[in-house]
Order: sequence, then structure tokens, then C-alpha cells
Amino acid sequence: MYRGVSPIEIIRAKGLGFKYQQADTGECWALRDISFTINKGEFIVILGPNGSGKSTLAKHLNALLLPTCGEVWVNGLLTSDEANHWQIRQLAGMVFQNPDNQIVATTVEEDVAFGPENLGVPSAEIRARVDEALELVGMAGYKKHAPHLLSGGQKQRVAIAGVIAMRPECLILDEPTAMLDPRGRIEVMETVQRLNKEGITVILITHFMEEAVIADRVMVLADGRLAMSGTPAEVFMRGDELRALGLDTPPVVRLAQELRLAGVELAPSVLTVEELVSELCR
Amino acid sequence: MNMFRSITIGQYLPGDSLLHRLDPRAKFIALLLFIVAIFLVNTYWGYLILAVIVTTFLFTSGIPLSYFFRGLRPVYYIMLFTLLIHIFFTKGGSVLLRLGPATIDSYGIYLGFYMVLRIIFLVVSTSLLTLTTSPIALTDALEYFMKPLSYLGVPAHEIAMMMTIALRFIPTLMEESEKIMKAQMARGADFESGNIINRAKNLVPLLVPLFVSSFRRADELAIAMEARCYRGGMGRTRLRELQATPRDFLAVAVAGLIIAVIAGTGL
Amino acid sequence: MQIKLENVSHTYMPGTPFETRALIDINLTIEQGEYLAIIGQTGSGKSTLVQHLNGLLKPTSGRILIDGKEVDKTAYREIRRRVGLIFQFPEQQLFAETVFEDVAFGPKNLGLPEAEVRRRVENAMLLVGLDPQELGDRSPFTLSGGQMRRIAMAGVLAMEPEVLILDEPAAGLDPRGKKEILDQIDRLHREEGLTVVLVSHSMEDVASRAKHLLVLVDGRQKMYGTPAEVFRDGQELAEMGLGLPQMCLLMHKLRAAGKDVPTDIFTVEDARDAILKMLGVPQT
Ligand SMILES: Nc1ncnc2c1ncn2[C@@H]1O[C@H](COP(=O)(O)OP(=O)(O)OP(=O)(O)O)[C@@H](O)[C@H]1O
Ligand SMILES: Nc1ncnc2c1ncn2[C@@H]1O[C@H](COP(=O)(O)OP(=O)(O)OP(=O)(O)O)[C@@H](O)[C@H]1O
Ligand SMILES: [Mg+2]
Ligand SMILES: [Mg+2]
Repeated sequence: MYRGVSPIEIIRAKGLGFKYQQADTGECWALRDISFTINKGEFIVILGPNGSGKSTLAKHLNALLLPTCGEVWVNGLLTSDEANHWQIRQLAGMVFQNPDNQIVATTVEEDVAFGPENLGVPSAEIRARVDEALELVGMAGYKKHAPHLLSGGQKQRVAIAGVIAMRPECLILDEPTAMLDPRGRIEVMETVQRLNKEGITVILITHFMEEAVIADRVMVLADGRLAMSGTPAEVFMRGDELRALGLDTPPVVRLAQELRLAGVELAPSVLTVEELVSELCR
Repeated sequence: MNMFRSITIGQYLPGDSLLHRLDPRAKFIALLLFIVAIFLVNTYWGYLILAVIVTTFLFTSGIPLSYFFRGLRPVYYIMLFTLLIHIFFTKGGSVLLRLGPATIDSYGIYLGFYMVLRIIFLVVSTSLLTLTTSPIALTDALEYFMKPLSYLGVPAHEIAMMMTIALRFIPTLMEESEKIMKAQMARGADFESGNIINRAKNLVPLLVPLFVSSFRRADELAIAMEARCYRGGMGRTRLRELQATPRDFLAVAVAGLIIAVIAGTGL
Repeated sequence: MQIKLENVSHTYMPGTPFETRALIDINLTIEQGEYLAIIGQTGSGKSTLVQHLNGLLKPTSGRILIDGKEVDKTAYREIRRRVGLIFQFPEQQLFAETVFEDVAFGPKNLGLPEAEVRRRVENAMLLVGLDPQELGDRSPFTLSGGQMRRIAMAGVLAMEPEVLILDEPAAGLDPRGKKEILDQIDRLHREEGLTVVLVSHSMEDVASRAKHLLVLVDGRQKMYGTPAEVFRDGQELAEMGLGLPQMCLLMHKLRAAGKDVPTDIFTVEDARDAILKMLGVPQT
């Protein structure tokens, strides 16, 4: 067991590599030599082009996949040790891209109860947790609804509630907004930010660059490697590198860059429309 | 094609009637007893009593009648078929009509109508159960009744889980097949005309994508369940443990009483 | 071709407890060479509307006129050929053993001769930027997500439609994949002269590309006009749960802060020029 846990660290990856066996092309290294630590309460966004290994990495953080080489610890528990798996999965809950393929039960409340039921929580306590979780994601009015009649954003919030009801330390979301409309995306992002304020560590994978600006830290994956890591301002400063990887910066950041090139003085940290407006009106 | 989305499993309609509130296990047992009663009865008085009971429940259940009867449509053909079979092939009693070598006998008509009545009672009472009981409650009840079997190695929990997942995904898959069908129709596919062999061949562009996506769904769902600590029925608790109230025992007792009366008085 | 909708309404499952009025009284004319974007929230009726344009759904009331003639039963097959519809996540409809066969499905259904089918397949694959020689014999299921999406698009283009309808063509792709697909559509519009109808959630994607925007709210047509007209009033769109494109939003906010800038601005380059002008910085 890893011993040198500092009190605030929650996830640590060291030299993590992972290899898929593929039927046609043989083996494929989806992750190569990745090392990082994530502290309790942080909001991390992971960016990367299609096929860069984001989902593969996410599945390592709650022991759904085990490293081919290197190690991953969650709350000081080594994921390679099978005895730790259930505790790790309770600590690090995961929400997936397609809301349809992660809702198990035929009503909202039954689905949210699924996790706590698996953990063997007593009935009365499950009830309390389900109500609390649905309240937190703003779906308390939909307890008896059938999931297939909800909108995408609502389904995704139900999925989040299902994880919250397990009382995790850490929430891992793999492109939760990819299939949603703007309102659904806002609903989900606001929910995630609220949970982060309550002290839950959030690791969010996304293709929407605008969603990265609220992060404490952004990690960029490219071809299975950790290509960049830093605050949103630091990462988005490197717009050309991002574009070379198939990514982009939010339009405002690109605009701010263009304005600087034309000689306008702007603070280096401009990431949002509001920030640019207040800079320009100074 | 647009009906796919409308299929609510077993046609369950949420509500708050007495039937809706009864424990699913009590409803199951009462229905079984009621079915026994249907087969025991053989007088008009007996049927009248059953009819009064069924219609009372139907009217108090809060289910729109049009909705109720629409759901019964497929059964009409079965009833008609049963009636005709009995009229033409059951012999006995007096001959009412002679058509060449064939005859229509009074006993045939009598029995035909009896059988149709029984079918009506069976279908109406069973759909009262499925219309007022949510699929989960039904699965819970089934799991409960199957529990003794798990000592014989029958995977009671797994069967119930499978049913729940099937119920959850039927509407999703229906929607999906509708979508794929339309996508192929937009490419000129024809699912409606041609002989049987051609039609079967034309289904390939529908079935292959459906299989591919179902396997992917199954895979993703399995991972999502594992991520939420699912590991079979061992050590699992439930959000809602089934809880029988005096009302439920009363319901079963009343159903039992009806049988006893029918059997005892020979109605 | 010109497609005209007159008072079109569509109700799903009329007369049941699940009755849904998905479209209410839509009037719309799509001219030859149009680039129309339909925007609206989930459930606002976008998919229902586009399925009327190629005869997959029939109006519950109202009429659809193609080149001035009302569509009747016999014309539906013909319309499906002339109006190509690409659904959301079209890669989910791939089924054949090879890419070639999959793309050939549409032309074969039209009963075209072998040589013509081959010509069309190869042409369609080139149009979406894929090499027919290299990929033709591969199984579509072994390709990357972006490639599968293009193949599905080629499958519709091979029917050589005059109108191309796309439902959320860029969903789920990374920024580069998204830009490539949208640029490809622009090219089809510009160079092949296709009429394009694009369904999208993203203001960002459509504002700088489409000629006209149609905003649907709960099955009703709430706004129709050029991007500049539709995005003039940010408040109203926000109330409908639809945002403004980021550049446009920036201009609205600058204006609200008392700056004199135009608001019909959708690209970073235009925004830069407008702001430089506002600041009085000389431009190169
Ligand atoms: N089950 C699998 N079997 C074999 N190879 C796989 C499997 N899943 C992913 N891969 C491969 O691993 C690499 C990384 O895939 P991953 O799904 O982690 O990427 P991603 O960054 O999540 O992409 P996306 O943005 O498309 O979701 C890809 O090259 C992919 O082809
Ligand atoms: N086949 C169907 N049967 C019944 N109702 C339907 C069907 N298809 C759509 N609806 C309903 O019609 C309304 C409009 O749906 P539609 O799919 O056209 O919306 P949309 O704007 O395309 O939404 P999205 O952005 O989610 O794709 C919704 O309320 C939906 O639930
Ligand atoms: Mg992924
Ligand atoms: Mg749609």
C-alpha cells in the first residue's frame, strides 16, 4: 500500500501505461507514461482529441481498467489490488457520455437507489440519500418518472444523482454534455459546479473548450500522453499548440490573442466574455 | 411506426386507486384465486357476480375505458375464433341448423359463449393487474415468489434483474429501431413490399445496426453497473422493501372467500 | 427545387393519453440554393420538421408543396431521392460488410446500373474527403468515429440529392473533426450547389454559415430571418433557453456597457476588427 499520502491528495497516477489488445491491428498503447496527482476539492478538466485516451484514463481512476504498467492510487488505495475495488468505486463515482446506457431501472428514484442498494445501505437510509441526491441535482420533482421520457440533460442529472447517492469523494464525468443541447449542458455544468463547491473533487472530460475555463487545472491528452497541464489561462495561452493537436481555444481567448497581436493591452488571464468586456471597458 | 414510443410496458398507467395501492404480491395472489374462480363457475348467476366484481374495479381504477379497450383489441380475434370453433365443431344438444353434412348444435353455441365469457374475464382481470401495477412492482413480486426457488439453485435475483433491464430498454430499443428504419428509408430502403424472402432480406440493413448498437449498449451498461458497485444479489438491500398492510391481507382473504362461496354453493 | 410548407402541423399519437403536438402551424419556404439552419431546444420539433421535408412523416394538417405541386402518395419515393436526410449519429445506420457496399445501398435501391452505382459511390466518397480505393474494401466497423460519420454521409450523397438535410452532423466530434465536417458541408453548398438544411443546437456553428435561421420553440416557429436579424435581440433568445454565439454575446455586452459597436458579428476576425475600430487602433 502507498504510504506517503499527504492529507489532501486523492488521486495519484505514476508512470501509468495501458495497452488494448485489438483484433485487427494487434496491440494499441492507449496510455503512455502518465503521471499526475489530484487533490481533494479540485476541479480538473481533461481535454484531448478523439482517440487520445481520455476515456481509457477515466476508467483507470475507478478501477474499471487496471494499468498495464505503472500504478494508480485512489485515496491511498492501490487500484491493482482487487480487494480495494469496491471501496475505490464507491469513492470515485463515474458518469458516462450516453445517458441512456447507464440508467438501469425503470423509474428515476429506483435508478438513483441502485448504487446504495449495491452497497448494502439500509432501506430508510437509501430513501434519505435518494431524496438528497435528487434535490442536489434539481430533479426532486421527477422521482416516479420513467427515464426514457426525460430529456438528455435530465437523464444526465439523474445519472449524476445515482453517483452522488453513493457518497463519493470524487466525481469523474466522461463527456457528460456531448449529447445534450445548450440548456442541458448548462444544467449539467451548473450541477457539477455546485457539487464541487460542496467539496467533491471533479474530473471532467469534455470536447467543449468553453467548459474548461472554469477548471482549477486543465490536463491535455494527445496520443495517450499527457501533453499539457496547467491553469486554463496557461493552457489556452498555447493556442497554436492546441490547434495542432486538433483542439481549439474558446473564441474569446482567440479574440483576446488577436487583439494583443494588434497591439491592444490585455491581462493574460482573459478567458470569458465577461472578463474581456471588463478589460475593454477599463 | 410512430406507435413505438407509445408502448408503455404492460400498458401501466400510474394512478392512485385502491388497485394501484395494493401490494403487488397481494394482487398476484388475488388474481390467481380469481382465475380459479373463473374456471369453477358454471352458472349465469356465478358469472353475474364475477362481472359485478370486475366492472367495479374497472370503473374505480381510473383507467380511461377507451384506453382499456384499445389494449384488448388483439384479443377480439381470439374470442371470435374460439366462438366459431365451438359453434361448428362442438356437437351435442339439439340440432339448430343443417348445412349439408355440417350441423350447428345448441350445445356448441352454449359452450362457445361460455368459453368467450371466460376469456373476457381472464383478459380483463389480468390487464387490470398490469394496468395498475408498475413493472418494477411486478418484478419485485416475482422475485419474492421465486425466492424459495433460489435454494434449489434458481438465480432468482438475476432473473428479476434481467426483467428490470429488459423493461427499461424495450422503449429505448423500439425508438432506436424506428430511427434506423427511417434512416434506411431515407436511402430508399423498402420494408413493406415484396415476397417473404425479399422482405427478410430487406431487414438486414435494419437488423445489423440494431445488433451492433445493442451489443454496444449492453457493454456500456455492464461497465456502468460495475462502476456503481453492482456485484449480484449478495448483500444487496432495496430502496423499497415490499410491505404488506392489513388491506393487502384483506384483499387476498376476500378473493379466497369468493372462491369458497362459489365452490360451496355450486354457482 | 423549392419546398414550401403551408400551415403544417404534426401530432404524434392523436387521441391517446400520449398525444404530443410536435409541430404547430409551420409556414416556411426553402428556395433552391438556400442554406437554412433550424435551431431549438430538445423536443422543440426540429427532427419532426425535417422528416416532413422528405416525406418520412406526413403532416397531420396543412400541405407540403414541392415546386408548387402538392405532394401525394405516389411522389414520396421520388422526394426521398431528391431530398437526402442524414440523421443524428448516422454512423449507427452502417450495416454492410464493406464501405463500398454500404455507400452503394442507396443507389442500388434506385435500381441504377452497376457502372453508375460505382461512379456515384466513388464520387460521394471523394465529396466527403475519403479515398474510395483505400477504404472501399474495409469493414465500416473498423474505422474511427469521424470516418464512419463521413461514410454514412457519403451513403446519402450517393443518391445525388438536390437538397441535403443534416441533423446535428457534428455532435460528439472533437473541435477539428467538427470544423472539418461543417466546412465540407459549406463546400457542398458552394461548389455542388446543394440546398442545405442544417439542424443544430450550436449557435456558434450556424451563425457564420447559414443564410437563414429558423427558431423553433415547442413546435412553433418563433423567429425566422438572417443570422443578423435573429441575433439582434439577445434577451428574447435567452428567454427561449437558447444562447447567443460567443462573439455576438460579447458585442451585446460591450453595447450594454455603452460602447458603440455593431451586434451582427459572428466570427473572431470580424469581432477583432470591430473592437479595434471601437478603440481607434489603426488596422493593418
Ligand atoms: N475496447 C477497446 N479495445 C481496443 N481498443 C480500444 C478500446 N477502447 C479504446 N480503444 C483505443 O484506445 C485509444 C484511446 O481510446 P479512448 O476511447 O480512451 O479515447 P478518447 O480520448 O476517450 O476518445 P473520444 O474523444 O472519441 O471519446 C483509441 O485509439 C481507441 O481506438
Ligand atoms: N415517434 C414519436 N412518437 C411520439 N412522440 C414523438 C416521436 N418523435 C418525437 N416525439 C415528440 O415530439 C416532440 C418533438 O420531438 P423532436 O424529436 O422533433 O424534437 P427535436 O427538436 O428534434 O429534439 P432533439 O433536439 O432532442 O433532437 C417531442 O415532445 C417528442 O417527445
Ligand atoms: Mg471517450
Ligand atoms: Mg432531433
